[in-house]
This record gives sequence, C-alpha cells and structure tokens, in this order.
Amino acid sequence: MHTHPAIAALRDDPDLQRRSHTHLGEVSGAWRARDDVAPIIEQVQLYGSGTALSECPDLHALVCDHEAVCRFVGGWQSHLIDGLRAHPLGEVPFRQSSSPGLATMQLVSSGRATLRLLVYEQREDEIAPTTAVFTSNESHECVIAGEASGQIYHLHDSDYSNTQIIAHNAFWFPGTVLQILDRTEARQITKVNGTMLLMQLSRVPEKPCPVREFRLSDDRLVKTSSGDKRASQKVMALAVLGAMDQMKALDTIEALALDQAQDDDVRWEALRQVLAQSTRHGLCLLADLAVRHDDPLQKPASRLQADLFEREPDLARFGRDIKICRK
Amino acid sequence: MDLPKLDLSTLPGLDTAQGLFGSASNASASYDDRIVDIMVYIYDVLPPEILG
Repeated sequence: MHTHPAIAALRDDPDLQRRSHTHLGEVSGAWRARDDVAPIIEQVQLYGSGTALSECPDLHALVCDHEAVCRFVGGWQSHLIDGLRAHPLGEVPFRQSSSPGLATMQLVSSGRATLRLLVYEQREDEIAPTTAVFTSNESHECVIAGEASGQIYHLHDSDYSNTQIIAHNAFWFPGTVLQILDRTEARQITKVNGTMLLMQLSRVPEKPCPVREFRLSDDRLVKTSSGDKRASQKVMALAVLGAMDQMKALDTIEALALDQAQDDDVRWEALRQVLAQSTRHGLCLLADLAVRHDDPLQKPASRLQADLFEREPDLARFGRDIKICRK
Repeated sequence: MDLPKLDLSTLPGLDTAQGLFGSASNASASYDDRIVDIMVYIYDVLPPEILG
C-alpha cells in the first residue's frame, strides 16, 4: 500500500500530531471567542434550554437573514482555512458526518439545540422518495448557496385512523427560509443542482416523540423508531455490556430495569440482559416487575414469566419460591 | 438449585418496541437527511470539550 510521505511523517511523529491537534483546537477557540460568535454560542445555550428563538435575535438571524448567515459562515471558513493551511492533515475539531450526497458539520451544540451546516451535492442516481418521515424536532433552515427542489409534507389527522399526507412541491435557492415546527410537517430534498449549502438550527423536544415513517402511495404507517437518542444509546450500551458478560454491571442494569423514569424499551432490554446473564437474578427481577400494578412493564413481565415457567419446569419451581424478591 | 441458562435470542422484545434512533429507513430517498444527527453509540473518540 502506498502512503503519502506527509501522512507517513505525521503517523511517525507524535509531537507533530499533538501540535496539529493543539493548533486546530486553538483555531476553534479563537473562532468561538469572536465578538460575532460568542453571542451566538450563548444564544444556542439559551435556545437549547428552552428559550423561544424570538428571544435569541442573533441566532434567529442566522436562519432567516441571508446576509447574516453568509457573514457568519465566511468568518468560520476563514479561521478554519488558516488553520488547515498551517496543518493540512489536521483534524477539524467539529463533529461531522457524510453520506452519499450529504455532508454535515456541527458548529455549535448545547442542550437540546444544534446549529449545523448541511452540504447537498447533486447525485447521478436520483431516487424518488416512497416514504415520508415525521419527527418531533423543531427545525429552522436558511439556504446559503445553491439550489434544490423537493417536497414539503403535511400530515393530517394523525390519530392513525384516517391519516392523510398532503405533498407540495418546493424549491430552495439562496435566502430560502424553511421552518418545521411540529411532527405533522416534514421536508424532503430530492434534486440538487450542483451543490447546496444550508444552515440548520434544530431543537429536540424535552420528551421526544417516536419518529414515524409513512408510505406515500397509501399514507400508511410503515415504521416507528425512537426519537430519543439517549434511550437508544442506553439500549446499545446494554447490549454491549451483555455481550461482554459483565456480571459486575448486573446491579446497575437491574436498577435501570426498575426505574420507571427510564424509557420502556431501555428497561425491557435491561431485563432481557439480566435474564440472559443470571437466570436467578433475572427471575427475581421479573417477579418484582410482574406485581407492580402501576408499571407499564407489569403485563409484559407477567406474560414472559408465565412463558418461561411453561418452557422450563425448573424455573417454575424456583419461581414458586419467590414472591417478591428485592436484593 | 442450578437453574438453566437462558439464551438472549429466546427472550422476546416488547410488543410496542420501536426501532433504534435514526433507524427510519433511508433507502427510499436520494438524501439521507430526514434525521440529521451525529450519534455516538458507545464513546467519544474526541474529548467533548474541544468539540463545538
């Protein structure tokens, strides 16, 4: 494999890595301390803790005033470009992601709010959407440069009995402002001419609702997924702890299963992991949950308990000996 | 009493179980922008204090 000499030099030189890392950290710090950036960071903090966007004037301007957002992004770019000129292989200290046709860069994030840049690129393999996805996030966007087209969806009668999705064609061009304020609205970009750069400010609600995906051909709900990132992280972490056979974590996992303030999917995953790691602990936990009449997991816990007792006579014998078992 | 070991795959999920965050299918669109978020599942590679 051929490695570029500059990359090879950086790989073999921890001092150079540290210098590059420190320098780009300083570049980011200098940008954040700018007179026109510090108030934005403060206002993202306010907005992220629940303040109305109208009470954050500088931040609001970034998603409704084309001139203001261009100035802000120009300042950010000049700092970053200077930093990368000094350390071309340095790591840009902003969270970023990329998928086909779309790159994102998170500029400021605090609490429930995130200010990010989205870059859309024209794709050869344009796919017409067959579903629309509705989230409970609030989102404010302003196009900085470029053009695109797509759809805006409105979901009517969201009680699942008679759902109807109304789609309108939409066009994005420099200065276009779009707000998605609740979980009955969504937008989908389908075609980009060249490249489009967009500033997006989004806020997750305090209690995120599930994300719903509807089929556009008949407006039927096809998938529901968690709108709560923390809850899904916990489900993943539980699966990792279980796979690592971490008996040491058993008490913590049990406490999670019993904590009604946690998401139901997290609590159930905790119960499954305890059952798989220690049948004895798991049956005690199951017995405990199965008698909690104010708990949403009571019914599924009773059902699972009955299934296990039927499946394994030894478990039934052990189960009869425990009524309520708390450690 | 020695109790039999339970296999995780035989323990059912909830009837109301939802997909993980961000798992809404994206195969049906040109751009995967319907949920824009960066999710760190297990741990951060970069310490959070240097990230914006």
